[in-house]
Parts: sequence; C-alpha cells; structure tokens
Amino acid sequence: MAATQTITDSLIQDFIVRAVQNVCQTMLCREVGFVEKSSSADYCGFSDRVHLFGNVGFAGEVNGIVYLCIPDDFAQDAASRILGMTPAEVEMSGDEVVKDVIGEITNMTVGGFKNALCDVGFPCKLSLPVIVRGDKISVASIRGAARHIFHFDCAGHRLIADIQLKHD
Amino acid sequence: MKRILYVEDSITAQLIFRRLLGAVHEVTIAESTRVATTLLQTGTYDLVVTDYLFPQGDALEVIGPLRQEKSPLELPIIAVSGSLDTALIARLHRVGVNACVPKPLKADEFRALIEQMLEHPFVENNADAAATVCCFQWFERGLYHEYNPELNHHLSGRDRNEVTARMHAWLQERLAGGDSLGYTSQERIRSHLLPAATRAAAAPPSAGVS
Repeated sequence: MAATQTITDSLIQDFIVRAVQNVCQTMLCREVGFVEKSSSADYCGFSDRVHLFGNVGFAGEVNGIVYLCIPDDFAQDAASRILGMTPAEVEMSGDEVVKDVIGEITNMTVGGFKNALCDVGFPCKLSLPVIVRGDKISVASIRGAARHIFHFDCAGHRLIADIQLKHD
Repeated sequence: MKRILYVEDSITAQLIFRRLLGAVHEVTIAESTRVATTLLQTGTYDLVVTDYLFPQGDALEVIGPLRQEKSPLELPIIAVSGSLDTALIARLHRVGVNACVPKPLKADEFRALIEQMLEHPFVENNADAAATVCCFQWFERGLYHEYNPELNHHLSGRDRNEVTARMHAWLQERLAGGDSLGYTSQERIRSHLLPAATRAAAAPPSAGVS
C-alpha cells in the first residue's frame, strides 16, 4: 500500500492513544485518560518509584522503538487482573510472571500502533518485546529520531509511551 | 470436547487461552513452532490457534507444511497476534489461515469464533478488504438512516438495503480517492434520558432525504 499521508504528530498521538486505550480496556477493564504530550518522560515522583520499561522496536518504511514506562504497582495490579490471581499470588509468582504480562501488554500496544502505521502506507515489522525492571532508569534518545512522549492516567497511575521514530 | 493446539510462547497468553477455553475443550500448548510441528505429526487436533511472531521464527513455519497435508476445512487454523496489519492478514489468508484475530482478544467474540470454527469450519474472505469502516444505522420516523462519523456523511431512505448499498458505493469512492478510513472504534449506544417537556417542545425533523 502506498503511503496515503505523512506521519504527522497528530497521527502519532491518535494511533498511540487508541492503542493504549484498546489494550487497557480489553485486558484490564480499565479506562485510560490521555494526560499530555510532554518533552520529558519524567513526572513528579518518578525517580522515587520502581518502574517496568517494556520496549518493542519496528523496522521497515519507518523505523523506531516504543517504550512503555509502567509503575511497578500498576504492573502488579495488571498481572493480578489478567492472570486472575490475588495480589499475594502475583507477588509469590515472582518477577518473571509480571514481566511476561507487561511484555504481552507492550507487544499488543506497540502492535496496535504499528498496525495503524502499516495501514496508512508505512509497512514495518515488530521485534520481540524486552522488559526491564528497576528504578532511576532513563531512556536515551536515538540519534536522528524524532521523539514523542505521551502521558496517560489509569486509575491514578501514570503510564508513559515514549516513541522514537526515524523516517527517511 | 474438541482438541485444540495453541501455539504461543507467552505464558500470559497461554494462561488467558486456557482460562477462556480450557474448561470446555482439551487444550494443548506448544511454546514454539518446532514443538507445534512435532505435536502435529504425532497427534490429532480439531483446531490450531497460533500466535504469529516467535523468538525462533514465525507461524508460517507451521502453517505452510500443515496446509500441504490438510485443507482449511479438514483442520482450521486461526492466527492471533498483536501485529496483524492489513498486509499480514492478506498474506496469512493466502497461505491458508481460516481466520485472523487481533490481540488483545475480546473474550466473548473469540470464544464464539472458536465454537463456530469447530462446529462448521469456514474461511474468512477478507484478503481483498482494504478497510473495515464503521457506520451507524437506525430507523426513525419511517426512514432508515446510515451515518459515517469519520467523514460526517449521512444517508437515509425508505429501503435499508438501498441505503446501505449507496453508503458502500460512496465509501468505496472516497477510499479510492485517497481518504483515510477505518479508524472508528469503541462505538457505543448511549441513551440520553430527557425530561418529558424536552420531547414535547422538540420540533419535527425538517432535514430532507439525501
């Protein structure tokens, strides 16, 4: 399919907002509100909390990577909801279970974003998700890539989608 | 109880699948395409459900050889993935997948599809579809209406099929003309409860039939 439009900032915002909302509503039965587009992936209290960073890259007519930054307590709650476990059971299951859940959430969210890009004429393929858990983590910018950072609110938790796109 | 082979590397997706179907069908999990190929050589299944992307390859490694032995009606295959764009869906249909379902799975719709596929296997025929465009239909004061919110286009008439045919032709024309369509989602019916006086005071519609 030939590109029917250019990848504008509003298109990127539209695609990622829809992808995040679709995944959270379907998988977690949670409403998600788009808060703001920001120049920073930081927010009040960010550095004090453990986060999970899920990332999936894509390559093709457009190249890039999407990071989902998720607070640890939100990730635990998501695992509990998706797996039908109590919070105590999730905690006993260990980090790998929570990471796998966030990997699946990241994959679906970035997949939704990527599919929307493909369907407007920018075919590209996904990589497998990589998940990192820790505090004081920051995402470095890719040289030559445009960076778009979107903040969301889900039940009082701040979720961040950090998108870096390179389009020749 | 039917036998379903689910090819999926994610533990989360495996658990969700078992929760959806494990009580009503015999579910076997293959965590890689290699394991799936072995299981298909040694076991008998009524349905294969497979993710697309795996750490060691993709589902085409399973689907291709399987389709050389069994037709879509003998052993249906459903592809489920978060990366199903229009081109990939068309490709999967060409290699013999019966149906494609995007993740995240909507539980009720997915269960219904599985049961339909097990009961009467069928092949989705949407390989040529460029877009799925959502329109809203309703009946009001003797007229059928159809509305496309993306392009703010409203049609009405006395014959529902005729209205739908006109909308379909109009959408095809706009799509061919380069309009971007097919992005409406999360549609809902919202009923607004209004005081009786509001209804009494409302003027009758004056809009003509387009």
